Amino acid sequence: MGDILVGKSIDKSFGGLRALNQVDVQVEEEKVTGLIGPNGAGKTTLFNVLSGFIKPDKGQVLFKGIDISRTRPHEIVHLGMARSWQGLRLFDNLTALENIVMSMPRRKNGNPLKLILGSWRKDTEKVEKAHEILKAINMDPRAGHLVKELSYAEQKLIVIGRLLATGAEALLLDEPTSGLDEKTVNDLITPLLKNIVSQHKKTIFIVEHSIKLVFNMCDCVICLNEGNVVACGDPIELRTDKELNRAFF
Amino acid sequence: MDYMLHIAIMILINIILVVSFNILLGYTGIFALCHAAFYGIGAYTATLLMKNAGFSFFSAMICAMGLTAVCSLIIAIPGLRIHWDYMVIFAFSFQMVIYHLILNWMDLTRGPQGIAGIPAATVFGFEFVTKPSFLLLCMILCFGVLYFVHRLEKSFFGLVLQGIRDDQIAVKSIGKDVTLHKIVAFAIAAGLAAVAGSLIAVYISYISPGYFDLHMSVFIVIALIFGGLGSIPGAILGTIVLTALPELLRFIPYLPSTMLGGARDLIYASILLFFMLFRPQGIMGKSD
Repeated sequence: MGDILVGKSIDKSFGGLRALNQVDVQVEEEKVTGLIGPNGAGKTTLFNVLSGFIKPDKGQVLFKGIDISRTRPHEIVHLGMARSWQGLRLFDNLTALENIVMSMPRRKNGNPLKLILGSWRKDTEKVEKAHEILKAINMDPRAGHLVKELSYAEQKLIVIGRLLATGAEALLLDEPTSGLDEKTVNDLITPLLKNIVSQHKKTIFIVEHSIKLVFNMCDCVICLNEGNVVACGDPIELRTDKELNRAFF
Repeated sequence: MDYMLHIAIMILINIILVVSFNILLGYTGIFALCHAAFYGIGAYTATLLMKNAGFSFFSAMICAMGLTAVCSLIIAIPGLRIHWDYMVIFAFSFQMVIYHLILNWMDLTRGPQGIAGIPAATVFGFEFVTKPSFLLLCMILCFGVLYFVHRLEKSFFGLVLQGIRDDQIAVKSIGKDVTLHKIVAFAIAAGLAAVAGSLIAVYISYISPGYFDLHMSVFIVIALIFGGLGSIPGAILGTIVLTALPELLRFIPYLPSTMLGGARDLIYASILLFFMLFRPQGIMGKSD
């Protein structure tokens, strides 16, 4: 498999602060790539650049060989790359099912009038697919609940479900396990993410603080510090590096 | 009896306005204090087409809806790219510009004198001149608008609008074009406000800038906040209460007629303050 997402010499500064400095990243198709680093290393900034929410000062972002450095975020999702947020960013006043259904892509050549005036509940194909996604994340029994009524762990699962609903091939996950206890991570999140890669054939690029999860899941790890890529490669090999081990693990 | 019919007609016209504004503030979370400007553009367009070009009521109304929707793009396209706070000021400015345009474009609108002698609404040769018949026309159009907005709320488009209200960035990250959705929402809301504008013009058979000033925009906002953001029954309830309440003031003994306007404004301000402090989602509102 080749690289589905490539960042080339990305620079990004905020005023006098250089958040990303000549950052090069490669994310291989249908693999899990981890992005680690201390707070303030530039991990979320890199995600924001890759997903189009921030434009880089210099450098290039290529997705499936297409330059998306200046592409708008929603268009990047149409191309096949979607992201989650550290702060969840769910639609709290909508139900779990509505969150999933509205994340599904619009049909090509769909009737705009039907889009504006047709009931989404009558689109049985989409509703069935949404229930399938909810089943895959063990949330189908909670389909009709408002998201704000769900537990934090359940909301995290809805975030992943929403990403799946976009139909994107590459998923950028920003700290999907933060705030969750170890049991929830081991029993729910890790198997789910593994399943997404093996069964749904997705590519995952994940920012994580949980080193255990990174080593458990990732095929490749990128270490970022003060806006610079300091190491990149197989997680087991990186762990044997004493200096990196002291700084990151 | 005539007086009661008049109140009922005004309630129905105002329901169209408030329910259409619900698309903007209630579903999408756009605080655009300029709905009376769309109401005015609709009223004047329908009036001029009926009076000067001999259009029938329905064809004038449809043209007014189209023109008002197009005019809404003037504010929607540049305004929706700026931050929420600035959008409020931008919309307020648009309201003032349209009001002063109507007030000063003497050749077209006759300025403060207004336009009198607007022909009655006629459909298939039937003239809606009596109050009961006009009430029927208002009911039909009001139910049409309510049904349209209800369908919109339950559609994919409506879901995305509610998503925009909750979190715009999240909507972008699931692949939806936030700006496009907002522009369409603006155009639909403005087009529906033109229905109310066309009705008020043929009902009173006279229009002047005073009907479409900032007070009217404030009334629409307060009625919606009172009844409940994002709720059609709430918008209806808010409109009924706020349209009927000032009328009830007339029956308070010893309240001089000169104080009616002031008392009405005082009530509106008190309602707004109360709901902002204690129940921001209104009586029947869904969102926090």
